[in-house]
Amino acid sequence: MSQAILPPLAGDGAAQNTPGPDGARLATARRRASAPLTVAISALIVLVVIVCAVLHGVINPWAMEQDTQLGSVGIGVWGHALGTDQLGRDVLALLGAGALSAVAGPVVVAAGSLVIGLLLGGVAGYRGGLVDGVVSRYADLVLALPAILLAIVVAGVLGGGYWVTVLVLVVLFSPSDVRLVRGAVMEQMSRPYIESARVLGLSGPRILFRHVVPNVMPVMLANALLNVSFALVAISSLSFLGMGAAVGTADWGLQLADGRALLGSNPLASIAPGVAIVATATSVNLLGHWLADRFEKKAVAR
Amino acid sequence: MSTTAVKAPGTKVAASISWFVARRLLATMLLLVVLSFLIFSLLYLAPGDIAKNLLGTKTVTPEALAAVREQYHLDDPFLVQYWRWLSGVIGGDWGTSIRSGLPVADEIASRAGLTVRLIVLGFLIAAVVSIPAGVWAARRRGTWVDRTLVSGAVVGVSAPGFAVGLLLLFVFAVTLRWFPVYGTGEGFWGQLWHLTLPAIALAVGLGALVVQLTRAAVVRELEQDYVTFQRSRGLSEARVMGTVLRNAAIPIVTSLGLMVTYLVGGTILVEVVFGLPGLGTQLQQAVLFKDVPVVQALTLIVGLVVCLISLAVDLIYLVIDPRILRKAVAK
Amino acid sequence: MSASTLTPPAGPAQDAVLRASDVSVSGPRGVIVEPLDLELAAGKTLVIVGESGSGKTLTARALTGLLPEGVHASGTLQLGERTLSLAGHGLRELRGGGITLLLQDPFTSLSPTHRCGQQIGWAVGGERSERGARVAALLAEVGLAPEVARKRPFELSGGMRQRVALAAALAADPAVLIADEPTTALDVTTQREVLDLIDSLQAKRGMALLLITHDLAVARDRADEALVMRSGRVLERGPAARVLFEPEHEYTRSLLAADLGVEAAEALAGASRAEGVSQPNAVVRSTGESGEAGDELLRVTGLRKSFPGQAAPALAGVDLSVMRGSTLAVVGESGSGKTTLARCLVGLERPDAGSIEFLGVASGPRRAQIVFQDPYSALNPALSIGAGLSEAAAVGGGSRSVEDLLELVGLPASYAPRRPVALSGGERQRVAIARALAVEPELLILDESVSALDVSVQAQILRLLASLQERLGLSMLFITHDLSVARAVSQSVVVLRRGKVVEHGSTASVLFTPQHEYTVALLASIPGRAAAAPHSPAGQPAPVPEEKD
Repeated sequence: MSQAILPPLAGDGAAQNTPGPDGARLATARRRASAPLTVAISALIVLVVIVCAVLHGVINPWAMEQDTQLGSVGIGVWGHALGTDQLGRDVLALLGAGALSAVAGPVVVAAGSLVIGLLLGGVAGYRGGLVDGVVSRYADLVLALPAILLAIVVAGVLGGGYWVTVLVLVVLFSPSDVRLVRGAVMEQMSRPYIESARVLGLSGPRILFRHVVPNVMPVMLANALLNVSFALVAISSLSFLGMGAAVGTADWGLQLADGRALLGSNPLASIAPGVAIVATATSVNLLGHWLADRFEKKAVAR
Repeated sequence: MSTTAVKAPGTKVAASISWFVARRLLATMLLLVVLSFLIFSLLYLAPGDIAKNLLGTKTVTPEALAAVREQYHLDDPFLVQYWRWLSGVIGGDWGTSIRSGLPVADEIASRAGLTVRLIVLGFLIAAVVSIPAGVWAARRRGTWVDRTLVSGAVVGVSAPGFAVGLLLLFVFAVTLRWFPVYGTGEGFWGQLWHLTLPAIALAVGLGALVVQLTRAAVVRELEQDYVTFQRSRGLSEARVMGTVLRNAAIPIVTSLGLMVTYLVGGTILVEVVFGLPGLGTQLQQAVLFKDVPVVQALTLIVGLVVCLISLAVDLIYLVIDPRILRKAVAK
Repeated sequence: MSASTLTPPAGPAQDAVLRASDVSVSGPRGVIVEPLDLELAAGKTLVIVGESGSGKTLTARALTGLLPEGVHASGTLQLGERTLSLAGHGLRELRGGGITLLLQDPFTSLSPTHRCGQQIGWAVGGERSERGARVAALLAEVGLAPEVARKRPFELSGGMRQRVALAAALAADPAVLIADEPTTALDVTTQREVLDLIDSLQAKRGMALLLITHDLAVARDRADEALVMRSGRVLERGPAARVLFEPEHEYTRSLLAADLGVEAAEALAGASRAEGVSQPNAVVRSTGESGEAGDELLRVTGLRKSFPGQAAPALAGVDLSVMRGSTLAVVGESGSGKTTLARCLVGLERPDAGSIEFLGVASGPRRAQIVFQDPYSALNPALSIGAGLSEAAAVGGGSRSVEDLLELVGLPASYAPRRPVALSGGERQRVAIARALAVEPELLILDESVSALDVSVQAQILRLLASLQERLGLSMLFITHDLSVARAVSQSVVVLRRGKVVEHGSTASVLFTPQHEYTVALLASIPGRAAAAPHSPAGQPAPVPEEKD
């Protein structure tokens, strides 16, 4: 135990006392205790948003319709807990309807980026050589470009709305996933158990899918959660600037932009969607960090 | 692996440095060429007829269209057009804005000052607050101080600049009336007063990023054996932290590129939410109006700045991390 | 080291520099090190011996107040006139001039961006010019040139870095030096130099030394007094001459027996060789040289391999052959090319030139299998033991079931559904051997397969390999940096240095009558060997292998 609790002592010495698994578990046990509360709250927030998104159009199909006479209403008016916006739409109902746009796009961005990452990064890491060179240079190139700027410019000039924005973000997000998968696969490839599988004569696809991918997936899933969070921030930013969701659809970024004019009369019209974006993005981000931490510690414990 | 002492002759080191710099310069040039190509293609990416787009709000007549085709050489092959555009840009001819009809260069020049001031102020606030906060969190890791700062940083990176800006506006400008809601102000203090809230909005996200980076770097260094060894030698805690900060500075400085990328996006959002007439709002309006020459010019400028900063970071890296030189020599 | 081992234990000496009593360490899960007392005398060496997990490192850290977070010490420490509690922060004042801790890994114990002279100078007061002279003097004391002061750690070799660290440790003139595995990360030849240097500095400065080591042989060479620890408890203590040469406690005896430099050779010889072996040391089975001499299984000729970016080739024309049913040991220090050789043999690297001929009947993966060094990454963490083994058996067309394979390596069949994380290092290495044997290979390559294990586990695995060879008629190629392991397992030896074979022949001839100077140097630097003879008191049995039971 003595060696194990200390930070890992590096070096390629022969009889080095490799930190045993006990110490790593010990450290995990100490830190895990602090996680649950924030994680539980985050999970609850994410759950509410997902439910709203899934039930889009079921709970309040009239969310986009004008409910009061044109003009804003303050807080606490009967039937409008958060008041109404400029067009007389109920802010809370609009918030519920906007959940779909806050879930669908970011999930597609993260999933698309993950698939591209696994395919390109997996092949590049496994094959190496020329394939790796080409894929890596491509990833370097896209990563060197200022992503948000390109998203704004390309999505804006294309003017195609929400899904074009999502597509542009998939292209801009994927290189970091490609790099991550490539690195993880390469790191796996040099592991003795993968080398043993190669010496045993297992086929390439079998090694890749049975031995490499299962060990890479946990990290990638945690990273995908982080991507969902960043994509939500990016998509709502673009919607806010008028380059994402089309005018007249329910979207938090758009709702915030519309509600700005009412900062004096009904500030909640713009603050509520702002809080929704920050709370959802933070929750997903925390869940991603928590998962990544857990996987990392599990890996250390191995 | 035992590494033997290598007394690298000065010439060899100098040669490898210049080779490294040359390679980075070449890569930067290549990146700029690719970026400029993409930017030029924007003209063709925009839906609709190019000539009509370029006419903007002017009345569309066959003569006007023909004049535009003539003016922009739209009948030439794509690559010839690209080359003509690129040489124009390098020569200082940035074209004219479709919307205002004014030279793009003048439009940009009149707005750049505000954006630069906003970015510098935001960056300073972020650096002054976040680096000490990150170091503090690292030194107190595991305590409530650390947990609070880390959670705050997660909220910070997850909060888009416009949401933060709006909240600040509501609390400090609309409700408390400490700061103005709108405008840019006169004179140094007036401008500073007007720019404070936007700069804080910009600094929140950047600062959160810097807290995370700093904390991670300092924690990593604190876990190194040399820290234990220095303490075991009876060296003062100030000396130990001095060494730690010197070594932790390397990853922080090299993340400057990441910070700049963040600032680019953040500035646009903050300027729009505060209604500041800087380059960010100009870009937003130009994109929405499909004022392609302005969009092209602004994108190219930002791309150039980002590339140059990442080049500068690599060169600083060479200076602050002596190990890099050795790797460069090995290559 | 002087005549100190000859003198009887001084008892509670008056000249004790440091006295620690009731030292205990506890972590979040309870007590890790149970209360113990320590006493260090000026100019004397106390060695704490123990395997990993024994609590030896935490004890050392407790004495300097440098325990990791979440771990606490209690007890009192008396250094000179002063008495302090180990629980508080007061120990900070003693660090430097009182006690200094020298760490295991010279590659990480110095700041990478600061120059060596600067780092040493931090502990030196006074004017700038005086400091420079003092740093140069300290460097000279550890046998380094003054130019080293201007170098950064990454420009120096491991041995030089540890010398710099030693100079830094001595800068404040500590009364007590605690050295925690100070040479474990170094090559054997360097290891000896650094230990000798510490010895001479200790004598010159009259410093008390607390040496922490897992290596019994090192302990025997250097100790005046010894303390054997296991699982946080002191099992045995007393003068080194008794504890390390004639232990009373069962565990110390088993450690001694497991210490391959001393006894495992005989243990193995007894387990797997015929009784007719003439000398106890010559554990060579004669098969390789007698009747079946022509029965060659593997022939390697002129093997070359270079890696881009490296000046020297990893393999510069290697010739060797392995006889059927016998074991060839390939011996060399890190960087000798021995691992590259193994990787070429199993097809993980493609040699630049030369030939590898398998003269057996098998093809593909059944020709050769390999077991690597690190047991913790040897098995896929995502697969159960059984799944991994049955996959290997299926691909190689082997006839053994998972149960058979586990039985073969001495593990119960109930291990099949377990994940690697539930197994100890030794057990994992057994599973790795079983997986290699699943395809029934003609040649088994062991690349440092026991060097990451504790000595007692090492001996078990070596015994297992010997019995497997007996049962299955396996041919083995055993790659190791450890000459005592080579001596224990092989019939013939190849000594590799910088990608070239410098000596080869039967184990007996190479390791007992070496011809090449490099082999001689390697042999001389094995701890417990060279220093043992002159120090053994006249009346006592010399601690050389021949005379142990």
